[in-house]
Amino acid sequence: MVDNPFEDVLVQLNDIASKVDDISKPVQSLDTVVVDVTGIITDIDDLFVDFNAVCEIIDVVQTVALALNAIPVVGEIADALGSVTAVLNEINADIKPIKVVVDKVDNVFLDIQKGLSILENVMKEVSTVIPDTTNTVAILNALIMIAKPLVEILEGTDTSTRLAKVVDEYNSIKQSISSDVKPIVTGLDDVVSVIDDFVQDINNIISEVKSFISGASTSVSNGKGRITPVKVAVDIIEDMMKPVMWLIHALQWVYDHTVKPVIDEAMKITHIGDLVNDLEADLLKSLNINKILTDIEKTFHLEGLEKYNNIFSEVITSSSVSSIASNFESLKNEVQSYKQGDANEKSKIITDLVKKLIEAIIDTAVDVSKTMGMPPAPQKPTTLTYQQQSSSVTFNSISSKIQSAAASLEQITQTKGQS
Amino acid sequence: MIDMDQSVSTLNSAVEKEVTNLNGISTHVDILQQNMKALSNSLDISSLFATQLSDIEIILKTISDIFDFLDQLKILDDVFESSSKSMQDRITQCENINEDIKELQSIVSKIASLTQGVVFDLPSSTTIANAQRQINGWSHGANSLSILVDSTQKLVTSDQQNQIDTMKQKISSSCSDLVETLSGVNTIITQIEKNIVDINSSLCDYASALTPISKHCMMIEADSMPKLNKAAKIMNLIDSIINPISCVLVVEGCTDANSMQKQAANGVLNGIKQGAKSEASSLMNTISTSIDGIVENTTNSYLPLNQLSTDVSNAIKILNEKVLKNLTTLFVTLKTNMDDLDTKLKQRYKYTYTAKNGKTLTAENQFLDQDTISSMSDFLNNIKQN
Repeated sequence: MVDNPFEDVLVQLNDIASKVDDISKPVQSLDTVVVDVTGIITDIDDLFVDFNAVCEIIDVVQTVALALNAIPVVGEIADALGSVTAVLNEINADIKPIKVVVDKVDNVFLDIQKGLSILENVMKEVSTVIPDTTNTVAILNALIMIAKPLVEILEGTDTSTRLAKVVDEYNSIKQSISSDVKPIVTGLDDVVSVIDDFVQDINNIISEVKSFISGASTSVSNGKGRITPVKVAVDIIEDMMKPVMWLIHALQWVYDHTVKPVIDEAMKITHIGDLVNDLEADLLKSLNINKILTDIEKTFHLEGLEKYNNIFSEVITSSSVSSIASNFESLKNEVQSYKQGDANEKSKIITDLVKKLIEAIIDTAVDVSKTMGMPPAPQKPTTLTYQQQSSSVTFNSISSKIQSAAASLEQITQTKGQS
Repeated sequence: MIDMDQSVSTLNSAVEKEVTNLNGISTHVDILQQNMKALSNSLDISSLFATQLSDIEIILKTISDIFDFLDQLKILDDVFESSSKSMQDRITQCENINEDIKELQSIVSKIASLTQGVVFDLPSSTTIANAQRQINGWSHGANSLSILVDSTQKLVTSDQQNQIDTMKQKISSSCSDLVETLSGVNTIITQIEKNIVDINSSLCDYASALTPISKHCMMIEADSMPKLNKAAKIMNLIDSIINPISCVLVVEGCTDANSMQKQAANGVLNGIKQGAKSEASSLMNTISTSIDGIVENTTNSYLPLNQLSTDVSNAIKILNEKVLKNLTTLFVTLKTNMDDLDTKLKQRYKYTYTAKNGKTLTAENQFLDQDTISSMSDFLNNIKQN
């Protein structure tokens, strides 16, 4: 008696589909997290750019200050420049370790981003393969349902024997798919629980990093604002001194009478004296390097960025996820083996089975071959040359690129008339 | 009587004016820099569109192949026959658009290499700031020399006054030269401003030409591809059900209406057909809705190929006849103007001096060369003998 051999596989597949639904929400929030991580990496890069800008200004001021050191000591200007140089050296030294740490953070986030996309791909595979598999199994089920009423009529004939063989072969397909499906059902349970925790953890760290980045970039831009007027002032002093540098070797009294008024004027125009007053305290305060370092320690070490990254690595390499991935691969192959290729290759298993089924019917019940002799020579069935589509995958991968290009075009059109 | 102070003051005013002029173009320069960055981010759009269109073509072909296949089998009614013809027309249209897109891509890649080639020649906020500093530096230099000469004048005897006058003459003359240079700078900056405004306008033309394309890309991404994919998937599914049964029927010669097998097996065949149809009928409703959207090509269509084709042709026309042509000329002119500005801003004199640590350093400036400095040094050394 032929029953409904694929029913339990279909139940399992439906179970998986429902679990994939459960996962889809955390996976969607992972999408958001990936966007957040990308944003954070951009922010960190921007912070680097800002740090570099500060360092460049510092370098320029130092270079000019050193060049102007060639001038014999004539009071305030030398003191002012000397003080600038000392403070800038100190800040330069302080910024270095921050850059190193931020660099490390940048790399960890790149790792996380990479891992997230792997995980996301596995989930995408799951949601693509499951409906295909369900369809395939439904087709197998439909075919055997067509046979079922015929079997009842033919009971006791030679056809029954043939149909028994058909059912055997159906069962072997069922076994093969069933063995692939079972570990997926259990594996998905693990993934659901881990993904929830992981998304939570990553969200926490990202909100902390966001607040750190915003604090640090405010500090850096304050520091830049503090040091920029010093650079402008030093530029002006340099420009003023260039035409009179040749007087360095004049006698002291000539120098005092001729160059001193130039320097006094420079002091007046640039207010360099005021600018460098308390520069050390002000600049250190506005750059807030100590706080940035503390925040980095707190956010990235004490709160355990490494820990999060390890949890994450464990998730994407754990046996449950990798077994899901490999079982889906196997399922996918199973499904594709009868879907791909030309019409003869495609669906070969089912074609053979249905052929046996119909042969059994024709031979026994209608007995066509006996009255008609041999059937006409088999015609070659129409050959299909199309390939199974993978366009949805391509389509997803260019989605963000399209958004970005479209946004850029929009940005340009918005400047129309402004320039 | 040489009025050095007047010359310095005239230079100061000219410098102030030019610094203001440079501030005036900085907005355009900023927009240019943003636009160039946005341009470089948008260059992919035509190739992304090409990718989408060829994906669509493949999907349409898949559906069409299945149409043809089902049509030949005659196992189902001829529900797909009229759709199959329309589908074939759409495929041809897609192929034509794909050819046009190749041309579009080629023009965009020309624009890409054109803009990438000039990116370092374009003025930036740093270029403007440097030019301003350079020009401001002339003013500061003239002022410090003027202070130097005024201070020195207080130390000299009336016999040495002519030497002071020579120095004043030299400074005055340099200031006048610089005022003239600044007038040239002014002309160049005006031209640069016009260049940049025109380039920005061409970049807007570029973006406007490609905006309909990017809108199609987003529509295809959000609407067309999911629906087409769904249609193709359903077609595949129908095919998966019908194909194996049909193959068998064809092999057995059961589809020939006059064959004796057909007559003899009629009852069985009807049973099989009934089974196949009941599996496929619900799917066919869905697929027919999807297919209507492709073939009708109305405003409600999720794949408006006529509009796509028009927009691609328009973009090609604007980019080719307007944007590419204008940008090519404008970039060349801008480069020339930027080179001219660079030449104008060069310090014309330099001298070397020995620093306190014994190192020989060079001071580039707009006022004094080595010879002038030698004679001025001699003069100042003589003052002490007074």
